[in-house]
Amino acid sequence: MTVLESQKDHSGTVGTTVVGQLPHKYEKGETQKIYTRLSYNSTSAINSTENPQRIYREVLASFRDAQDEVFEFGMESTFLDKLCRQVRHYGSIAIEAMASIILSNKAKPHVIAEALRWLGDVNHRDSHSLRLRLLEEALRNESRWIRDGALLGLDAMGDKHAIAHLNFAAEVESIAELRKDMKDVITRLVNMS
Amino acid sequence: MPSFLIRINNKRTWDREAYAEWLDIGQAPADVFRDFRVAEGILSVWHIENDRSNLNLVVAALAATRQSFDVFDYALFNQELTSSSDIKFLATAGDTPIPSANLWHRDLTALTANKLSVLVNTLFDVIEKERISKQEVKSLIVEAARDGKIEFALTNDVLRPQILTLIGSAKSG
Repeated sequence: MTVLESQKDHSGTVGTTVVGQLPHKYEKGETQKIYTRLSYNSTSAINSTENPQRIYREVLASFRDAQDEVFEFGMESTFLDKLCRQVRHYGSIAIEAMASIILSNKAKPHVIAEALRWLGDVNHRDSHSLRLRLLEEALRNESRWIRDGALLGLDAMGDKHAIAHLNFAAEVESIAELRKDMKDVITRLVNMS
Repeated sequence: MPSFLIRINNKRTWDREAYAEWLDIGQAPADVFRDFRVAEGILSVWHIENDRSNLNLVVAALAATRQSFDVFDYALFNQELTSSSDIKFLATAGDTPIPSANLWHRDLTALTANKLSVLVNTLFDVIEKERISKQEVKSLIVEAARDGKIEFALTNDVLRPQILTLIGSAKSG
C-alpha cells in the first residue's frame, strides 16, 4: 500500500474545503450527478499557489503518457509513481482531477483500470469517500477493464459500504468470469471482521 | 492428469464474451499471446499435481518474485493438451525465492509459431483462469516465510522488507 498520510503536512501548505468541485467542466450526465453529490472536507496538503486547472492538466498528462505502458500486478510503474507524487504534493485536488478524468473516460481503459486499482489501495483518509464513490461508479463503466480495475480497487479498500453496489454490478455483469470475481470480492467484504 | 500453470498478466484478456462479436468457436484472440512469453522457443510453466497439493507453494513462489504483495492471476490447463499439440516439455529448475517450488518448473520446448497457435486455440475455451487476492497472496508468502521455505536473498529488494516486517509482527503478535 502506498502511504501518503505521514507526508502531507509539509511546510507552505494550507488545508482546503472542497464541496463537489471539479477542476474542469465535463459532459453532463449521470456520472456528473453522482459526482456533484460528493461532499467532503479536505485537509490534505496543497500548495496555496497551485491552481486546480494546472493540476488537472498535469494529472491528465500522466494518464496520457501512460497509454503505452504495460502494467503488471505486483510491479512498480512509472504511471503509479507519478500519481503517488501528485497526491503527495497536491492532496485531494489531485484525486479530484483523477476522478474527473476517469469519469469522463479521458484515458485508455487499461490506464484508468490501473489508476482505479491504485486509488482503492492508497492510504489517503481525506479522500476516502470520494474514492469509494468513484470506484462504485466505475463498476458501471462499459469497459470490462475499467469494471475490473474498480473491483480490484474496492477489494483493496475493504469498505463494506461497497457491497450493495457490488451486488448490483454482479447481477448485471455480462462476463461470467468477471461476475465470479465480483462475487468473490463480495464474499470477502461480507466476511471481513 | 496433472496440470500446467502459466502466469498470466490479467485474466480479463481471457474473457470470451468480450470478443463474442467477431471471434469464432475454436479460435483465440491474438491478445492472449501476450501471456505466452516465449524466449528461444521455450515457454516457462509449472507442473501442478492432480490433487493440486503443490499449487499454493508455486503461487507463493511466483508471487514472491514481484515487488509488492498484489493480486495474482494465473491459469491452469491439462498437460495432455501439450502432447496433442506435439509440444515436448523438460523439467528444469525454476527461478524463484522458494527452492522447494523450483522443482516443479517445466519448460515447453522447441515451440514454433504454429505449435503455439494450435495450443492457444485449443486452450482458450478450456483453460481455468484464477485470481488470488492481495490478502491471500500476502498470507501465502508469509506462511512460506514462517515455514522457512523462502530464500530471502533471492526475493526482490522492494518486497523483502515487507515480508520481514510481516513475519516480525506475526511473531510479536
